[in-house]
Amino acid sequence: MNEFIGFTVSGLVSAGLYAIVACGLTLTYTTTGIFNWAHGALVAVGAFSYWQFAVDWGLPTPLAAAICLLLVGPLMGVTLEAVIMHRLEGTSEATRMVVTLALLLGVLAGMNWIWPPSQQRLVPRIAGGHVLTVLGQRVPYSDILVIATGLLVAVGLRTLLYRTRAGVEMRATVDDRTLATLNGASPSRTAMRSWAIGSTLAVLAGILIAPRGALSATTLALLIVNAYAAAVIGRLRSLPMTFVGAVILGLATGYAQGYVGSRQDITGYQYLVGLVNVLPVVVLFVALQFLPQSRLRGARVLRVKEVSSRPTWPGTLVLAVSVVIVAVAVAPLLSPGDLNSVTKVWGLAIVALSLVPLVGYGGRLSVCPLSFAAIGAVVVSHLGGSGNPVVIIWAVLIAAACGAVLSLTVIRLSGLYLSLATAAFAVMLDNWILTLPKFTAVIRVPFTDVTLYRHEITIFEGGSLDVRRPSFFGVHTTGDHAFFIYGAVVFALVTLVVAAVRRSDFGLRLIALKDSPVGYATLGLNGRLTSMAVFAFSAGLAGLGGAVYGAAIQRPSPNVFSFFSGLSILLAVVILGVNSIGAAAAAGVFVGGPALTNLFPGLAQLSSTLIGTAGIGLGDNPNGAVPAEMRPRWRPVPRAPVVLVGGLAAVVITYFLTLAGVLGNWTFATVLVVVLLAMPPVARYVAEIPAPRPVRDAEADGLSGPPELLGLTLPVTSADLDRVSREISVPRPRPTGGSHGT
Amino acid sequence: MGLEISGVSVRFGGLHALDDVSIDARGGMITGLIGPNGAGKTTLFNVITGVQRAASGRVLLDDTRIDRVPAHRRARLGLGRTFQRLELFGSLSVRENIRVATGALPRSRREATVNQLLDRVGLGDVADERADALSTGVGRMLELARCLAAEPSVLLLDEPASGQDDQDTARFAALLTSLAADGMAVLLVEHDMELVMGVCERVHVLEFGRLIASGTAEEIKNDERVRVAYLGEEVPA
Ligand SMILES: Nc1ncnc2c1ncn2[C@@H]1O[C@H](COP(=O)(O)OP(=O)(O)OP(=O)(O)O)[C@@H](O)[C@H]1O
Ligand SMILES: [Mg+2]
Repeated sequence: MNEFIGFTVSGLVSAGLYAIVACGLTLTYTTTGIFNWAHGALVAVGAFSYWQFAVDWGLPTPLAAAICLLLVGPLMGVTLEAVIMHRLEGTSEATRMVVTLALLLGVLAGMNWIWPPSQQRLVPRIAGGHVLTVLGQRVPYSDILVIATGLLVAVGLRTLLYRTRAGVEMRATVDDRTLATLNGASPSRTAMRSWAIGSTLAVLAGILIAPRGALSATTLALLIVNAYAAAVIGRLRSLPMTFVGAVILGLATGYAQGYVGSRQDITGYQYLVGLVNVLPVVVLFVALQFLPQSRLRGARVLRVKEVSSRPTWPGTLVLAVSVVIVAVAVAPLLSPGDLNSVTKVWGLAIVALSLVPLVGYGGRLSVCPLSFAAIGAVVVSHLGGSGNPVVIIWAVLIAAACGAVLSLTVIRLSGLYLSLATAAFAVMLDNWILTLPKFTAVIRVPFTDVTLYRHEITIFEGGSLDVRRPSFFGVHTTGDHAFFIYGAVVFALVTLVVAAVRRSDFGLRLIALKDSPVGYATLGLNGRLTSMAVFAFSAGLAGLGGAVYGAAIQRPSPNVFSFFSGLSILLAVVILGVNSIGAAAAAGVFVGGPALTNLFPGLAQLSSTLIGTAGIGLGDNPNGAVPAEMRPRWRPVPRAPVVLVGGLAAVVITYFLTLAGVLGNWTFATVLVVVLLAMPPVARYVAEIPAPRPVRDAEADGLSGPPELLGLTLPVTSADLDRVSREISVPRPRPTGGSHGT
Repeated sequence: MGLEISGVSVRFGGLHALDDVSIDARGGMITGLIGPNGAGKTTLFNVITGVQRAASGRVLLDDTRIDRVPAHRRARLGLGRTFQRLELFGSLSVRENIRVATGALPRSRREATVNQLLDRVGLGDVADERADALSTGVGRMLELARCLAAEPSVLLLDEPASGQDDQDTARFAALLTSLAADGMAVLLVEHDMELVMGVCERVHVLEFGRLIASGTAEEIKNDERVRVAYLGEEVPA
């Protein structure tokens, strides 16, 4: 009985924390339409700032808490709105998610910079050791404080939204921004308010969590994924239901931890302990299944057009061949250490490429690419003891099958919910499945002793995998040099496959389904089947990537396939241009390549920080860097053959001089960079092509001038009329009168 | 043969968007469906095509009940539609839009069908333009072509002539007549009365979600309730 009360109290404490986090998240989502993936990172910022003031600088507890709640929280919220969130209006849901995911990664990287994780940080409990005795059980005051705060926050927010003018304005803005403006509400003011409140709630949760263990930014940010489950139970709309969700979730974790998590003596403990830890994520996954069926969505009007240009065969072949040539050429220049670390580039590039059909063409933002890669790596390690290349096919097939199964469970979901489900899947795999000890799978005929199938399954054995590098017809890829070139060849082949898919009818269907699901269905095409197919295809490619990546590392541990690592790959591809095959190659090199950390040792966070900041800027250019910046810049080069040949010749000559030992590696790198930077402008000069004009905003809208001036100081063209008619979805007024125009 | 709808009701909260509506559209002829703004015409199309669930009522296509069938299967059974608010595949070209719709045809026939349709609706000149760069009128023709690519037996058109000039409309009327002559059932929602009265053999009139009249074009023109409710004429004193 005592035990039960104890577990209940600790469950309620979790419930209080979940409630505060989930209510803040729901508030900002309902009032601004932006789901803040970085909410957990804000909680971490709250916890660390509190530690900074209260422990490191030794301020009195109440003062430290007040500074955090009254300054840090609101300031952080207002800054977020002013710098990032307000630019997201009129962008696609995927862009919004990518931006806040980037924020998550960026904030975490920034925090590791300010508060290096090597130092252990502990925060003393508020109200020290004082306890209250409830039903014979001693309950610390700090626990009661958390429970009470959770309740207060839920009640307070609900009152704010329904009983005050500011709250009513906030709710009105969600329903109809324009209408609310006409009624005197200011959308930017309400957005500012709700970000300030949301971020302050995150800080509050941070302060309350801080004393409950050593501080770790990633653990806190991930812990908060648990709170998403509560928010989803409230359907991201209802605060009371969110609160109920938090209580269910808190109690469930409390009892599970108490009755299973701390009893090593129960049967199957080693299999269940992981499950206990990921229980909230399992709840999230299940809760998503109970969301109302999404209706067929119509086409959307976006501020910036999404482009997905069809890859040409010559272009793709040039890319594929140059990947192999560059790999062959670069390999001898690298020192053994560098060569060893760049072998992982191609596996990551293939994983990045697996996202192009799914996220780029299909518009489905799955955040678990590395989960399928992990499956691929496990399969290869498990079946491929002797480096038999056939297992790679198995890796692809099994990963694809897992992708198809996952897609079956999430097929009804779209947009945000799909991403949440894939995040839940990634965390479940990371923290439970991949940590499972060895087990034996047995399939028996029921009620008899007849065994149909018996197989011992090892996943990571709690340590690292043993992935052998394959050999083909006697050619071994065991050495780093050979493996690096092998990886490039596999990547080059995969680019051809993806280009073929984009050029096929299936590729067209993917884009059509993204553009208008309603239009798609009424043409007799089955959207769910199409989604499932692209999920399986992408998972298969990711599995292949994982097989190559795993073999590059040779002894990968589960954390190389973690949710956050997957996130960096996803973000890198999206930033570079998720519709473009070239961007995937670049993303692999960027995430896997050692270049940055070699140039700036000690800045291990640099690539995460760069990805974070670049991703945050994505709101203005959702098409990514490669299609929007690089392609237009390089387009003139083939039209000035002299420059192209000259540039290539310079690189090739320097290359051989370097190989012969006349020049150093750094000289080669410098020449390469100079040539790459100089070629586009020189080519433009030689071919007499004017510099590309930056696209003005008005043109991005498809209008001939700024909308506020059209019809006043600028003439309205017929194209403008068409554009406006489309935008507000009324038929364009007919030039000569019909009998009954609308 | 054709489409038969009986007793369809749809409610949005307290609003009766459709209230016990029964109409039909027979093969080989053009049927008009008219009514003031907000009468429920688009909602009825949504119910027929499976985009919107009805609270009650039956939809029969060639005497088979289809109201429990998912949207894409209804289309496969021969139901095609266009949208009042265009539902083009914006980032694909005109040609690719039509190509997507040929998905149910054997691979060998797809290319030819696309070219033939481009000709038939007169989109040959803009075949390689992005669909979201088209004007509304041209976009409507593309939707029609796309829908024809799936070879429907019943065609639902939601205000297809709005956004088109008189010359286009005349050509469009001829196209509709030829489609009906091929045996297709065409159900036309349109505010352009000249067009409706010119091409439709039968006309149904909706007002506030209720069917207030059905008959030949001539009967509808002379129906007093319709003139008051919809054509906006005063009852002669
Ligand atoms: N999804 C919806 N939710 C709530 N109300 C809706 C919805 N769709 C339509 N309505 C309402 O149902 C009624 C019928 O709308 P519908 O679009 O079918 O009219 P319509 O006859 O097509 O009008 P129009 O000539 O303007 O196109 C309108 O009052 C409309 O506001
Ligand atoms: Mg309508």
